[in-house]
Amino acid sequence: VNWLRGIVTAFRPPPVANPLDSRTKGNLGESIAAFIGIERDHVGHRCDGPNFHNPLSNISRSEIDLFWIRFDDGPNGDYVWLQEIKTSTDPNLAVARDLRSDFEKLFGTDVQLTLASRLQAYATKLRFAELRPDLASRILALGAIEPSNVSRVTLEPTILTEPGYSTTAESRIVGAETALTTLGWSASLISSKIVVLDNLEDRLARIAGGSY
Amino acid sequence: VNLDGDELIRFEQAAVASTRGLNADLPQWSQLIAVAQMAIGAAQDELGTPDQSRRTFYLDIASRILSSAVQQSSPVAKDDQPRLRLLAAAAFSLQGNHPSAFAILSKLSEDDLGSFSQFECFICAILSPRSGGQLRRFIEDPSLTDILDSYLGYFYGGDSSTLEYSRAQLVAKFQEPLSSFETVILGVAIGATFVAQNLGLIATIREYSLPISSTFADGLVAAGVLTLLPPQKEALTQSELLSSTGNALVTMPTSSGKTLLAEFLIMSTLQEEGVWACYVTPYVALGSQVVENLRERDSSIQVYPAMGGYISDGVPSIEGKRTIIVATPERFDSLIRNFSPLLTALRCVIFDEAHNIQSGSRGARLEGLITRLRIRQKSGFQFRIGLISAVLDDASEIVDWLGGSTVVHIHSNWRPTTRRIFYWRSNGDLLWIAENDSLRASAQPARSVLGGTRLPWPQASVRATEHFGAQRQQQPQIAENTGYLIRYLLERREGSVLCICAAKATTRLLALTISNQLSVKTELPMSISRILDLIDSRYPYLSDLARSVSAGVAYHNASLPSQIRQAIERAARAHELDVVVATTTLAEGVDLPFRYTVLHDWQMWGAGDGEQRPINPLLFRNIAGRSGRAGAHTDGDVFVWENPSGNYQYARSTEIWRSLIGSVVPQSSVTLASPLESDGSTSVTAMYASQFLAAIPENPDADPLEDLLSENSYSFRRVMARDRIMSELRRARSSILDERQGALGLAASPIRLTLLGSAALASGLSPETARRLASSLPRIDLESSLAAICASLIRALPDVPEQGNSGLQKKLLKPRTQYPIGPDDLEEVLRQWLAGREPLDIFIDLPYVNRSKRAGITEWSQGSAINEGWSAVFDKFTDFINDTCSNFLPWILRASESLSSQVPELRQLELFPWPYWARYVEEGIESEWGIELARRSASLSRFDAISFGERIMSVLDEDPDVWFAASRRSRQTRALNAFSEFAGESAGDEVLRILAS
Repeated sequence: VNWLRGIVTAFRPPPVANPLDSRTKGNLGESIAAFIGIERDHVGHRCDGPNFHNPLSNISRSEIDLFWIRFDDGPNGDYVWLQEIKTSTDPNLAVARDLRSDFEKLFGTDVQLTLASRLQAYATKLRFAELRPDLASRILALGAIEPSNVSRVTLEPTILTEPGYSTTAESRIVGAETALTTLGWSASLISSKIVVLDNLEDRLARIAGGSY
Repeated sequence: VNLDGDELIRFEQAAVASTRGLNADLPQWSQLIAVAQMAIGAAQDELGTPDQSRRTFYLDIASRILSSAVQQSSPVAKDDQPRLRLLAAAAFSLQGNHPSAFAILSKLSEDDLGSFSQFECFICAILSPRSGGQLRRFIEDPSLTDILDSYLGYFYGGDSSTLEYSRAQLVAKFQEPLSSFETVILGVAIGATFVAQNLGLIATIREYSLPISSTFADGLVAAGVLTLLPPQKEALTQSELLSSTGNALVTMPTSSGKTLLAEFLIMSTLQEEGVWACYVTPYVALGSQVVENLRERDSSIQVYPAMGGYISDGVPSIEGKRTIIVATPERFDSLIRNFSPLLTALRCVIFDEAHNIQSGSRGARLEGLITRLRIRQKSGFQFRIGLISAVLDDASEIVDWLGGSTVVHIHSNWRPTTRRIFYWRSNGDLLWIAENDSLRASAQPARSVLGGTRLPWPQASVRATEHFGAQRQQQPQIAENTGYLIRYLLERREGSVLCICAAKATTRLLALTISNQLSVKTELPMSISRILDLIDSRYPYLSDLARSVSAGVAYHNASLPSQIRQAIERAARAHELDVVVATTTLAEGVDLPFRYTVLHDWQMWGAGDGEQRPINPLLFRNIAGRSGRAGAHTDGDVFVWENPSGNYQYARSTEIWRSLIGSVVPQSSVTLASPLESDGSTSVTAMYASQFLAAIPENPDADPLEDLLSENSYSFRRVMARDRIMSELRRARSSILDERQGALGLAASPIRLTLLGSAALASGLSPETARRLASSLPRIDLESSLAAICASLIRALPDVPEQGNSGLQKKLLKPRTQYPIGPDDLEEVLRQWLAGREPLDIFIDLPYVNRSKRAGITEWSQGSAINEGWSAVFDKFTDFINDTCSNFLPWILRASESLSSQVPELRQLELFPWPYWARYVEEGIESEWGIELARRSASLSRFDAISFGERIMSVLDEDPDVWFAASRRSRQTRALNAFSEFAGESAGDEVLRILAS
């Protein structure tokens, strides 16, 4: 919450509606996943995503949620992770079934959601906003035309849920991994995560209000 | 991009094959789109590198894949296509290909644009400045409209600070929350601003201080020319096109901007008052377009159209003005023969479609003209010659002809639309041939097959035969094959088809065959209704056209009344016709927005010997250029098929591939032939003799003149024609000096013209024809009616080469020949023609028609039955009207004036009103009003034009208050101007009603 306070300009004034609408829950789940990444799994990596830094916005873009980039000393060590987070307090975790289709769109015909767009968007920011055309070229080099050609992009399907639903979450995650390998992704390029927080519904409402 | 060049090309080819139903084993569209996106990314990476060829290559790959992805037949989800269009526009825009960016964005529907974010609409406007105005209504965000207005302002004002401001604002947009896709297109748009900045028309004119007036530049911008195309920019800034005093040759593909370069060249030479330039164009329709464009550009320039056949009626005063005369070669020839002092004020001559040099007697005239101009240049005249052509590749001989190292040769293969060739074999294989596509893998020669599918001929039994009767019998089956191919293309719903035939009868047969298998349109567009109304009210015999046009199919040939032809062209321009089946005249003339071209006949009749031969590769290239018009389409597909009709020598099964592919994809570069290489007819010989005659006073000290002419000719540079041109010119000299029927020149070393020679020169006739006319004139009763005089003239000159109607020639020489007009009919036909009677009515009353055992004339003429037999006979009649009455006779009448005014023996004939007679006959109307209206291309029939003239004069005369101060001539001019404004779009009847009321 302290971290969020640093990036969110205005929390919702209490009393915050409980349950929250699913969009806000999803956005907050992305923020939580981003925080975990920054603190633990992606220390020192660049993070980019449409919603995590503005979870209370009314807008929730349908792209893959988080985009992690590591620029190594040389181009061969550059790496990207794409993290899609499904936040759910539903015992069935039905929403997690969408993990497959969300990642499938990385190699689809909707150019709003393709891996190429994602890489090129970041390259564009590097080129024009950060004036780093060198890094822009390096990130474009991670592109591929189909999942089986990908070598330095890892998928991170992630479920954020209650501790009591972790078994279901595991099952959903395994299902997603299997589906992704069927699409052509190498198993070694899939790194799933399950995040559990008790009283998740209440926690998210409190966080939306800016408190513990 | 982690793919090498050949791999990328194969992906591009797979995308093209997929949307054309070719090949079975294709990559998924998701892969193709990933390739395209990666290519755009790679191109962005190359921005700013000195060698831009890789960037261009990547953008070619991306734009072609993406434009394939949005074809109607693409399997890509419809919801995904609008943003693919946007991305395709981005790829085009980054290449400076704004016509294609415009074309692909203009197909976004209102719904598509409504589904876009404001930001996406805004980016579309940045990518295609020409679309900016239209797209602005979808953008409400003031921060975006502010950027857009500044950006567009650059193209209108040329102030780079406004563009730099808008670019800075675009960069600032990265601070706002954008989706990945929006971020991508923002980046591309920023890149595109650099490209557009470089190509901005006004800014280029200013930055490089191009010698173009601001009025002219503003006129271009007002006409929507905001940016130059890359080859135009290069030509204007990196070559000496505008700064040199040497001649110029512009060889660039169709739609790549040659005409604009020619306009710049002309304008750069018109830097003072009292000088003029000439734009020589082979077709009236093209010339009219040039006149219209030039007048729109700069009203301070006097633009004078001089169209039609050989006319020496006069020229406008050029004193105190800058003048451009837009002329046919015949009119230009007449100008420089009869008004030679004008040459000192001439600054530039442009010859459009310069490859026509190889075409028969017209080609010989062009060659003669340019040869004479080259000699004048060498004697100190200060004008530039510019030749432009879309189809030449190896032009070294032309460069040498025009002046070798001093020539500015602008050559480019860049074209805004991609052209692809498809070949349909008799075994049912439809093959995509690589041709000279810039994107070919390293192991793909020009004739390699890039894709194919099975499409069996519905009439597979047709075959080549030596017997003409058998050939004729299988024409309906052959037409069915072409019709099947065209329906196959129409099912893709990409755009309209232009089908090219060698004969008028075939255009009718094909149009009916195709339309019979299409359903009649339930809601007829306005332009089609207009055609039907015209047929119903004035041309009922065109019931075959009425039937086919109701299904969206029209035929177009020289036998159709000009009103109908223009109405068909308007309908095609408005995308309201699906198919136009035409003879090559349309293919070489007006630029209409066809998506496909289908070549029905690939063997064409030779002008010289009447033999059928495979189509000349340059003509094929010109025809192929009709598909995929820039700004309307991004692609143009050309289909040829192994039509077995024609000369058996080429069409038999063992030869057909070699014969046809030889024309379509020649193995070596094609050079321009001399007219003497392809045509040995008397008309070519006569034209060289006429040109020789014209050169005599132009070169008073040259001896022998034939050597001078030969050395400066194009034919001299052709191994196959060098000896021929010398012998032709020697023969011309002998003919001119021949005293037996009156010498045209005296062998005084150098030659001096006799009075007869001077008259012949002014007339534009060949020496022999001039002699025959001079000897015939005293025997003609000039006190009789004009119709009788004209009939006598035709009978007196039955076989002169200037009278190009071979059917009439044969009939006059051998009266038993089958032809609808005999020597005894001429006077009556001409009398009715001059009285303004409709050609059909004259035709029906012909003795030939009344005697004929062919049934059904009444039903055919009234439109209740289609009768190809009568249509074919009527073709011959309209040929007579078009060739003999409207062209040959006026020429001869004017020539008679030249002869009678100069030759002492004919002086007594000088008082006859030859020029007036010529005008009457030319337009087929004995009315000054009618003639004026016809000259202004009024869309009235000749008969209505007379009626209109009478009525408008009576109206004007009744209103003295308004018209009192004006002279009769001024009133006529005013009324005509008013009429012309209406006549462009409105029906003649409407104009009559409006003006009469």
